Amino acid sequence: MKASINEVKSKIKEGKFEESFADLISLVDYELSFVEQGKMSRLLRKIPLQQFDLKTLKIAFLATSTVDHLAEILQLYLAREGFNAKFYIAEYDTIYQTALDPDSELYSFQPDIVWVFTNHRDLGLKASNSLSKSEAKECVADAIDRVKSICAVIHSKCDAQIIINNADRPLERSFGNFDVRVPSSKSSLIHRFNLEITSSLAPGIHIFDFGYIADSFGLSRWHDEAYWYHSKHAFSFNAIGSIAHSASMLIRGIFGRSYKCLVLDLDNTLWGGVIGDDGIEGIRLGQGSAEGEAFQAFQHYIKELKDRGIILAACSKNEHETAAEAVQNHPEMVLKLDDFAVFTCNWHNKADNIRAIASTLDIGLDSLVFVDDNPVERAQVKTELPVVAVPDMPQDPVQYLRTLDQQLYFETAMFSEEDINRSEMYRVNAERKTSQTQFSNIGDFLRDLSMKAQVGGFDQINLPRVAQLINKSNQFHLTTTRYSEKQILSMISREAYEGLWVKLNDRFGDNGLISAVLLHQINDTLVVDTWVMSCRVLSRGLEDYIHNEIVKIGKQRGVKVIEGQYIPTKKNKLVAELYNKLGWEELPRETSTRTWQLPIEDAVYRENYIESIF
Amino acid sequence: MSNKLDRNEILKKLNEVFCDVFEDDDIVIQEETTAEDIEDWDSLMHITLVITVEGEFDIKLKAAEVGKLVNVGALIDILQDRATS
Repeated sequence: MKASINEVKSKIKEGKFEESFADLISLVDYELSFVEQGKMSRLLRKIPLQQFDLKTLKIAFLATSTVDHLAEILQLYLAREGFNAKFYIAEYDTIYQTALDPDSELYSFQPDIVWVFTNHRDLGLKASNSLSKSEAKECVADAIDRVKSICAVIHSKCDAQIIINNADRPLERSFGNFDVRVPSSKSSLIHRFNLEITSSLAPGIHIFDFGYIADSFGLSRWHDEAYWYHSKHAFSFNAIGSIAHSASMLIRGIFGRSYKCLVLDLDNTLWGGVIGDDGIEGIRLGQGSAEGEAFQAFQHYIKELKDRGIILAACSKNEHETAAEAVQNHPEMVLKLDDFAVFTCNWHNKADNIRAIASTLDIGLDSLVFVDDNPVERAQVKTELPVVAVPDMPQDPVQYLRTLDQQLYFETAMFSEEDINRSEMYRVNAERKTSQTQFSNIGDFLRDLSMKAQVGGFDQINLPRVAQLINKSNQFHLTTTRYSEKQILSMISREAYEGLWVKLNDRFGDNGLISAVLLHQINDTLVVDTWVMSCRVLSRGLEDYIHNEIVKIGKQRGVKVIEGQYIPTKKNKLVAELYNKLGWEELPRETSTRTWQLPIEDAVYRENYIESIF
Repeated sequence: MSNKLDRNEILKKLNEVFCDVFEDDDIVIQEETTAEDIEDWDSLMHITLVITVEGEFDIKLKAAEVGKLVNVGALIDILQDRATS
């Protein structure tokens, strides 16, 4: 490791910033010591980050312990995830003062994230030997109120996303094993706090599972009294990497950049052995061997991922029929064919197959994770498709589950009905694409889909999904806006704003809520502030259908003109010509932002094959 | 007593740590060197420095000692007392 770090160092000296940045990022590993990670973060500061395509992210820490070293290393992890992080760290232990002062630097800093960084010592969870449950309940309720009231104050003064910590456990237990049975013991209070802090959190507040990090790191290693008493460091320095890793992935999730799809090799990844050689009876899967059990547990874990909305795809060098038969008929197989949105078995190279998978599913390559036991296949994909996440799988298959899980690729800031059904929708959609090829013209195909759309205004029930769509969409997103649920609520509470969602189903199944539009009336003009749509319903005339809905609203409001904009990014080229296609008139362009207008008197309703239902 | 480290050897090893931590290969430290003498040596870097030293010499300083290191010599005193080769 020392040699690799020194190599980066000399590349920086030679001014090879691009190369040194890539090398440095590839070395980041939360299991390294603080000393090593510290060196790496100091090297990062010598690389001019503004020259890379990183998103600037301002993070404010309000902490009851010293977090400066954490911030240094967090910067490294966030750079790995595509962020250029800037920090504001409030004076140690001034959470209330800073949050309450409207003139504090916290607010002039205009943070994207405020991290209220507490630990078990400062939540007011004071242990006592009282046997009364109600006293314990009250103590915890007070502690939760305090945290929530700080969040409310911050949200009243700025639009930042807020991260709060739950509580780590102290090492000591005055009752020993009996601690868990005394309602007011520290263990019991913390346990209750961690359970109850999760309920009824306001939108825009995210929990950082500090307690889990402490547990997984090991409590006796986590607590380091010397540095607590010397300089108020709330955890051991070697734990900083784990915290930074987890936080960087959570932040990715909060900003809608988490991974969406898991692409899996089959032979020696989901079972032991090679199906083409060993046959159904010969592969190792399920009870009977240590390896077989581990492969099955890995499949159970992947099934859990699928059930929470992660799309699965198979990508294997195999005869299609042989592999499909094994998956469908092996009695110990947990994952079935239906669990995979795409099942690709052929002899092409894997990078090409992965490109095809992304295009069939209409998702970006940067939302794919590729798992393969074969280091050669991994290397090929890493080289050809550097934006695909490719974890280094361990030699021993019993470690696969842990390795994949601990990468935290699938961190999320929300979970809704849509997530549960997502996988099925993608599978059906992939099937639909195949069926498209059977029709000679697109009109026949669209008519045959018998699409039905439902339209509604933003309401509490649909708000989480609307926010998710706005924050996660990159491709079909004309103006790049990102709004929290709270911001959306505050906008649509005003007369000038109007929100519109669309749900779509067809003969293959229900697509769910797949588009959201936020309109803003400015005098006689109705501006399309935000228009996002799930790419899986692209090219089905839904754009025309939504155009008609926007025109309807314009007429109801009596505006003269409807106006739309396109702000180009690396990812939204897809919709660059959308308004031209819809027949809106482009205005002369002054900046990279393009603007179109549609005078309401010229507006026509566009033909489509979608029926409205109510 | 026999396996006590030589002060000069400790100083030499410490010099490497200083160069590493402060990212400056030109740093030359002496027993009398203090935080005043090295530009980036603030309270945060002090802790990074001490933790790196702890790692390199495989010892753990007492909390009270971390704050009382007046100069490099004081650190060598502790290392000579506790670190073994």
